[in-house]
Amino acid sequence: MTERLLFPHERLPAVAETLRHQVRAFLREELAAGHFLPASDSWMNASPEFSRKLGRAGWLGMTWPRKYGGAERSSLERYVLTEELLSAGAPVGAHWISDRQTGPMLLRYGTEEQRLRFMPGIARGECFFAIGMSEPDAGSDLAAVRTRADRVDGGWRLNGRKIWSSFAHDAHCMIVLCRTSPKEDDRHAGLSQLLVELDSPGIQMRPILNLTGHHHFNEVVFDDVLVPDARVIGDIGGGWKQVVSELAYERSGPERFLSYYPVLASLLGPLAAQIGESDGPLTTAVGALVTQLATLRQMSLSVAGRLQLGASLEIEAAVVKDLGTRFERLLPEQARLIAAAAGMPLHEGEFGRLLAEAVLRAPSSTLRGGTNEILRGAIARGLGLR
Amino acid sequence: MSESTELLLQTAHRIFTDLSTVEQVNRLEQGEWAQVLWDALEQNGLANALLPMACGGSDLDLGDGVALLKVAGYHAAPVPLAEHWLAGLALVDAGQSLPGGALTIAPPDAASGPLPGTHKRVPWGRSLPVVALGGVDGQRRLRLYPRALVIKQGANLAGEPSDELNLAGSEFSLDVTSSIDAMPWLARGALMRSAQMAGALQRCLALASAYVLERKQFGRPLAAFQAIQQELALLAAEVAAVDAAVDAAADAAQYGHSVGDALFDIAVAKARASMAVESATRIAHQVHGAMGFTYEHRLHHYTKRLWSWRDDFGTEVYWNTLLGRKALEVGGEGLWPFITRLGSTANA
Repeated sequence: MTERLLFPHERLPAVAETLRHQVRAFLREELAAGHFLPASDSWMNASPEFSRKLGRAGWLGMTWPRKYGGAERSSLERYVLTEELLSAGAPVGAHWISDRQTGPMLLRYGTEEQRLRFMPGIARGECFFAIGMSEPDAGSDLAAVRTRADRVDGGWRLNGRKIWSSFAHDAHCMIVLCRTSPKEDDRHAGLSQLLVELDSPGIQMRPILNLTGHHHFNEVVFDDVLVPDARVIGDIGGGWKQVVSELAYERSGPERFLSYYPVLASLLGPLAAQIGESDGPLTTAVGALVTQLATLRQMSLSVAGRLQLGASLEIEAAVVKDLGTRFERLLPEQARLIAAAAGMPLHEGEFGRLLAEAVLRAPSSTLRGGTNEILRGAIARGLGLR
Repeated sequence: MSESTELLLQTAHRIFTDLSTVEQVNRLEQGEWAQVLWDALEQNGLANALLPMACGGSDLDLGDGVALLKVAGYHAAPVPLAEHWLAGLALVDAGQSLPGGALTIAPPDAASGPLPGTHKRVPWGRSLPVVALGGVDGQRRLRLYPRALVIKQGANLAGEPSDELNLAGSEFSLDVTSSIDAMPWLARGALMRSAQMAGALQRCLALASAYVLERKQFGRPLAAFQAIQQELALLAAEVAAVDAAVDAAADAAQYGHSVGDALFDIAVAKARASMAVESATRIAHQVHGAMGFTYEHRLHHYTKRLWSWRDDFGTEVYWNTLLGRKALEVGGEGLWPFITRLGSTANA
């Protein structure tokens, strides 16, 4: 047979299932105490307090070495934790970036000093990072970044602006992708990553309200911000390679298909009450969502299991993100149609609230972390078409 | 996958490449039974691969059997390998030996109703002994009809023989109590058909990829157009999803000890496979242009099978309804635990 994308079935180890029960018990308690309200797209909801509780339970940075505050557990255990939190609609936004990509990135490219300085705080849920990639003229075309760092004695002087930085206003640090040498023929050369503490002099932050009117994104402006050499991540000029490897962590996780799962869960009770024993197209439509969700979960788990072994799965991850985020766009729309066809009220109760949140947030699903069109371009390259 | 299974799959690939040729698959559409291919499968231990050694099989586990059926689907093999395995396993389960040669089955009815007198859509019913399961006088029976009476010869959309049989008027050579119920039998068939579909989908992607690289318009290969790249990426995602769902179901069925334990995993696999057919075949045909609509081009061997196979052993509507019922039964609290039990050790 020809070369093909492989998603071999990943069986979860027993230890991951044990963890699952612990996480469920924790979430039941938190819910019972009214500490959070299940939400659609809950990884965009930040609760530093909730993150600190996860930190205390040893559930942040849980795969990292102990000396950096980790618990040396497997990626599959982290996967289980993540899917449990997301399916419950828990507010995991505060630590999301630092746990998902900053820690792994420091482990891979950071200095020992950087790891010891930042990772234990991340793992305690006390130190949050924001992403500093996109700019006004650099979205999908990330290599077009203009933010520039010039060499000065003992470090770098940073100038430029970053946008779409989620929760930068609550974060302590940002990893900024910037140009450290002028653009040459290879536009991927000359890019570097600097770890910037957001209380440094010369930083201004402005909210960018999203379509719901909420302050989630920020524009962050750097005006002669001094960054010491000790805060360079990895190699000067190696920024592009580092960013690409960072994106692999971003693309295939359960947040790419579970963001609106709470809508589906909240549909079932009222729907069952409405249609009773009568079976028909609505039951089938619910089943179709279950089928797609279960399949995506197997694909995502398969990638997680193999990433753990050090495989390079850029294309597989892109497939999961494309398929998963298209499902995310579909789920609230289908749930709405099912509810309407069953004669359920669309704007009341738990279902109405979660549906409304999902409808308003869904447009970002197929944009954040790489648009689907760009992902499909990468998949086509993986198929040997370009 | 073990080394011996790897070898078996390579052998299958080679045999199908040599003998499941365009001409042979076309001849099937004229009703010709591919005896040479079947003999080659028997001689190489593939025909009975999933059956116990005592029956001349290789005692392959279900996961490897599924891998072999993917290879068969990839080559549009004009032989009823899945049907033969289903028939053989039913006989083995009932403690019987195999009569020798290829077998087929009367498609299982999900309802555990009585054995009907007539059966429609029996694959290769005109030329092969038929194993049928069903209730007779309140007992579940398994019967073997060496040469069933044909009411009407027919064909599915792919031209595979699909006949209406009069079993009530046919003589049976075996009539024993059956230990398996209709549902596990249906599920086993659904898993096997899904595996063939996964293979056929892979081939659609392979053919489409090759064609867009080779075909030039406006001075460029079709593959150079972003519109085409985007479509093929969508096709690849569907193909990958089916492959993953089938592998997960096969694995669940294998270590869950029985097909019944993996009923919902198989439901997901067959539903996902059938759901993929519309967009996958649409894209594959669209990028092939008019060439893919000819009899000469091989694409139709795969797309016609997919259009047929999506209806076999339960449509996506059938399996999604089963899953939807389960979801409504377990409710909002129970759905997530249900989903996370899929693909794991116990999901009964």
